[in-house]
Amino acid sequence: MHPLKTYIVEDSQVIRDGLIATLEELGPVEVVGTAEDESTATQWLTQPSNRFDLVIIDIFLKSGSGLGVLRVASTLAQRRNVVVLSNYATQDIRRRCLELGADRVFDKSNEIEALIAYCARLASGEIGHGVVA
Amino acid sequence: MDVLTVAKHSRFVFPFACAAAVAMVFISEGSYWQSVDKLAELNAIGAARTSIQSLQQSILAAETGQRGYLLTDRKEYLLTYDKALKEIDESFSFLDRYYAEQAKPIAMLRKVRVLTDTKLSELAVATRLHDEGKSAASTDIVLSELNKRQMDAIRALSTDLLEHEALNVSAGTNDLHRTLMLSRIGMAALSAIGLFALFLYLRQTYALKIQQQEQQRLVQAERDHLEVEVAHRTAQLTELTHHVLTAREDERNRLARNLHDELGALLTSAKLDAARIRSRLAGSAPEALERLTHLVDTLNRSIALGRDIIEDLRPSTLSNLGLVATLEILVREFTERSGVEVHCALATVELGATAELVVYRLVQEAITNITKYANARQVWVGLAARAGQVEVSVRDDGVGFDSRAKASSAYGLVGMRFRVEAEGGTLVVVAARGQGTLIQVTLPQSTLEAPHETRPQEALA
Repeated sequence: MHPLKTYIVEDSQVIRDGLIATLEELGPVEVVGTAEDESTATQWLTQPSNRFDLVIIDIFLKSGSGLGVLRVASTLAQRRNVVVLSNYATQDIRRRCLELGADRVFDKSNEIEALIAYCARLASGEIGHGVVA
Repeated sequence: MDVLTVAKHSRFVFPFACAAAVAMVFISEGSYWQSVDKLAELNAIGAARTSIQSLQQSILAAETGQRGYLLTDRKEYLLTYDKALKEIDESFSFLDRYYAEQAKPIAMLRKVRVLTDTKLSELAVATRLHDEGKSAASTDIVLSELNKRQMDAIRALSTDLLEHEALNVSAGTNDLHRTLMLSRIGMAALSAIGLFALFLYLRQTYALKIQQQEQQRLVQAERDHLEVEVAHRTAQLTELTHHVLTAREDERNRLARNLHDELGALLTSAKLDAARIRSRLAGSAPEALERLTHLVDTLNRSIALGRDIIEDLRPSTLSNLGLVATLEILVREFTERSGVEVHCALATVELGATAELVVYRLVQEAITNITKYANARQVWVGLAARAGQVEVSVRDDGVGFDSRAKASSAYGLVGMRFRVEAEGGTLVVVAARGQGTLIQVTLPQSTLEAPHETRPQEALA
């Protein structure tokens, strides 16, 4: 089973570190890169040489917005798994994110376990848009 | 000019003018009556002179009549004689009355009377003698030297009397002239005084008018100054309010950001750790797993609490989803909570970040008021752009209130008004008891493009 190549867009160092450690420990996940702001993230994502299966996006960033990253990520030539991990996963945020092409929306505070489980299922190929070979 | 300075005061000028007018009337009346008296006196003198002359003529006429009779024996001459006697009596009776109270002329008149009586009695004797046929004796009497002296004496006395009267006339005329002259001088003097008083009065009126104008000008200047001052203070107050409100929102923003970034991250990190621990403990230590579940639960509640605080400090949806979506969420939550039917007519408008926040807080405040006081069944919320202005309205069909009763402060309207005015807008409240409440706000449309740090709806457009 290939590890899930994951790109994380998250402005908090603490969460980023925790997320990388947790995902890599609990699931077959390999974090291939991170970004703290919108422009860095979109630049990396639109680079054809960068290979990844999953993008985890936080909405609040150092500069710009996760929604912008989401739009770019969900309209890439090759369909990837794009999820939003937000502190403000209200009904409206969820609706807006799904409209913009997010596969799932997870709440940072009470859906961490669900995210981990989702990653495990993605890695196993059970769901998702497929894993990059 | 002491007189002038004293007379400048109206309390002197007016009585002064009155006194002058009264004096003028007195002088005029006095001289009139004096002149009338004097003229009557002169008239009487004229009558007396006429009477004296007529006495002289009558005596001559009596003598002439008597002599005519003596020469011709014709009775017509006796008629002239008798008529002359009667006229002499009349003249004496008039002159007696006239000179009744004048010592010197009455003495002269008495002498004339005596001489006349003597003369007349001689005439009567001569006539009787003639009638008795004693013509020679009669002629003696007529031609006697005595007779001629008597007539001369009478003439001389009469002339004296006439001269006396002439003196009286000239004295009376002089008196009249003096009276008229005095009256003339008095009139002229009083007219001059009157003119002077009028001049003072006009001068005073003019001075008063100038003074009034000056006072009016000062009052106007003071008013203008106050208006400028008030405008200045109002501007300062608005600026200060704006500053305070901005500072308050900035502070809330900063606090919300810190809570979200720092506390949120720590709590999320703790949850990630808990997930890892759970994975390692799975199946090996059930009691520890139970404690871990409790810990995660506590973390969840902390996160929820933090989120509520953050959301209250700064509506995250405003910067994420825009004003319309945020207001929709606000309204929907209100409907779910209260069961009140809300009709929304929300259009996308161009507003700056702070103005958007003002609108959000306004609608929030209005909804809070409706929840607390209005007891409404339906609410209408409107947001629209019209002629370069953004119009926001919140209307309910609740109990309303008397907007004239200054209860506005109790409804948080004062705070709302300040916020709106600090953004250069206006707030109107239409309310009446039992007829609901309408809050209408007009704000200038923003000309700046995307003042937000993050405006996703624009970035996505």
